[in-house]
Amino acid sequence: MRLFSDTARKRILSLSLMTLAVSAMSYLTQPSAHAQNTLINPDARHCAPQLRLSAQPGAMIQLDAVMPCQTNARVEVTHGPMRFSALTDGQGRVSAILPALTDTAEVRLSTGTTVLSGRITAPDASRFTRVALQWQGDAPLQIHALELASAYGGAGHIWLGDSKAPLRAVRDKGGFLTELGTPQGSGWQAQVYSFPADPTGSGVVRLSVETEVTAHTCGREIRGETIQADFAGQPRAMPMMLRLPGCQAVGETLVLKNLLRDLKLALK
Amino acid sequence: MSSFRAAIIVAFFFSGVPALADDVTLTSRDGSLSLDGTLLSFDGEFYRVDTEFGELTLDGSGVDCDGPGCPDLTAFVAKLRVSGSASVGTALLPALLETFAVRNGFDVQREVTSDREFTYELREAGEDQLRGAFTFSLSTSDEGFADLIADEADLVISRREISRDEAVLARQAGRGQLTDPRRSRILALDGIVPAVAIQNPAEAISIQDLRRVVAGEIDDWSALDQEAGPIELHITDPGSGLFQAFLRKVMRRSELTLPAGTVVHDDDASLADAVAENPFALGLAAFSELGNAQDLALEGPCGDRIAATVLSLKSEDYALTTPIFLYSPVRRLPRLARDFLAYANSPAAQPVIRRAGFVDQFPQAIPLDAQGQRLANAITRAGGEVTLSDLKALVAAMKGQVRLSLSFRFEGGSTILDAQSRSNVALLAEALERGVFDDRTLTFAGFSDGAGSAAANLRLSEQRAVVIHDAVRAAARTIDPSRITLRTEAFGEVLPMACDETEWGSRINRRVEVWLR
Repeated sequence: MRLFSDTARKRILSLSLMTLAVSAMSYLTQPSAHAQNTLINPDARHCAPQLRLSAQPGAMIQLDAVMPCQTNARVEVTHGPMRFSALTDGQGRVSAILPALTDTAEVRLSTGTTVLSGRITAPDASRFTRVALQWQGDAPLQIHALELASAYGGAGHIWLGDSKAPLRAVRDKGGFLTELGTPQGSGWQAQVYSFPADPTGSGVVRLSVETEVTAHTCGREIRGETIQADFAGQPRAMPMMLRLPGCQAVGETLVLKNLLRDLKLALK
Repeated sequence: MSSFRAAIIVAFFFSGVPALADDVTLTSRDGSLSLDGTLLSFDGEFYRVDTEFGELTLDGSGVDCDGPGCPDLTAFVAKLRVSGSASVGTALLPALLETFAVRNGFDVQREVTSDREFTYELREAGEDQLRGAFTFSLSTSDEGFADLIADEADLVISRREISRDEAVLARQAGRGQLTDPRRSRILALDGIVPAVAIQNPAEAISIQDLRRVVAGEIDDWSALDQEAGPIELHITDPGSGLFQAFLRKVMRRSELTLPAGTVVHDDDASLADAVAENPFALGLAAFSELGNAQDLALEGPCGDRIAATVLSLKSEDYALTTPIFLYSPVRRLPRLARDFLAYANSPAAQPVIRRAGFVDQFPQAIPLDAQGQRLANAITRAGGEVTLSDLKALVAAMKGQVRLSLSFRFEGGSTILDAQSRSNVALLAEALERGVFDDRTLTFAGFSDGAGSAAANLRLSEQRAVVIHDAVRAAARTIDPSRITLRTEAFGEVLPMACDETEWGSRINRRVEVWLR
């Protein structure tokens, strides 16, 4: 049974205070924000939400939003088929770094009453193959990638405990893992594995999904979706329901090697 | 014993006693015909009804159903239980099912219990009503046939043909004659490949040496002209179709005591991964799942080498091809399941099969310049009965022709086709019917091995070419004979693919090729 420390659980979603400094790459959206909360709160100016999206290395999108009238609220973030739930802080701020699935990426935030959306160009998105698993609830599912004959625990074993930085994809032509969402109640969380679409070697990246069966998760059904390229090469989400083993299996690890298709790399 | 008798009585009661009352009335759409009876089953398309005239099957599209026994047409769920090879069933069938669903506007959801136990649910896009449930319970080809005999499977994925014993059991159990060509089909092609780690310098191995390694007669790489080191043999489950196909094709027996230290794997991927990690490993891997390992070419005693490639597997020039079979019992499958199987065998599915790592059955052209090795073999082996003029005649006949990947090979020394070749007869006939080769000339070129006199071999190769020509012509019922020319030509032993010193070498040589001009 492998356990990982809290420090290893590098939550990409940070709820730290952020500054709305406008960098050269940043992008402020206002027009598409449907500030429905103005109906609830008479002080519309006070509540005006803001969303800033900026491009990051590895075809990642930095998302910074502030919704002053939505403090400590759950926010559903969607980008194409990808979705996860986040929490705003005491000032209504929320930040995340998520992978761009398409060159023109639309990101949408919704608290139910406030909806914010923005668009950003991520010209390098097509240079990555993304495979995602997203699910509802707090079950600790993990994507494990074994790159090109890497052993478990080896340098090419990418998972939550060793998720690698997006820069690795740019510099070393290797993959990295992104964790998204704050597991809370029925909220959604996601893990996305990114690998350069123009690898320097040929071979296979094995992708598996693992979860430890605990007294809390045993016998449960987890609703979720897999997102991976279909046989025409388009990212496609497919709903799944995962039935975890019964409570006699507590302490065991469920390993699913076929939930996500392995990536077959070929130098052509 | 008494419970057994009770079961018989119960079965008799239910099947032998007439139903209390007719529960359905089926009326033709124009109202001209009406039939009362008890509904036995409905498969989404056909009604099976017990009537005063006996048991009848009626096409649902032509009749309206009235009465308490009528199925809820909108609530019909097509169910299919799939069993058999996990290595194939986890990768290939889901890929085909997902593409089938997308093409036909279905939403797909997966219910997953484990890697081998899962269900694909199909719904019309945006609707809640379930239309189809394809339930997979995968293990080995052995288990798949056992499930089919026990009526726990509607479809079996197997890497080998059904054995005689299994076919007998299936017939006794009322599953029909599974050796009947209509009960099975080839879904895709694959091959057994000797696999080693990238760091292992070996490039080829002979089938004889492979046999000796698996028999435990060779246990060190030095015996294979490599640096000394213990050979670690890796195989898939002895119940797996892949290993059984190896036993039958190479070891020529059905059971074997494995050498001590043999590592046995549950599936092809685990085997490939383990082999890729160990430079001393030698695995019997699947071409479709080499992972990060590399394959060794098969070497004949004359130094001829044939590596597993898409083309050499399609043409069966590679000795260890293993077609992937789908078997279904004699009962009618639901409409959606039949539509899926029709799709899986259609030209549209072939690119999906390729992308899933398997070899499709789409005929491919092999240009003459890719056949240099064959000509080199022919020249090397010429002399004696094969004269320079024979070679010249051969080259003249090949000029301007391309060879189709689809070839025909025979069991033993007979004119009985092997499974892949039987499937090829149907494939070629179907392509001819579609007009793929209209305004072209197809030549069935017969070849023999080198055993016996050249004159006798020429006659044998002529016979084989005619057998194939006639079989294809008989299967292609709707072709327009004025649009296509089909001819036969015989070359005897002139163009060997492998050397005849081994049984498998002569088998490769006894063939009918299809040339296209």
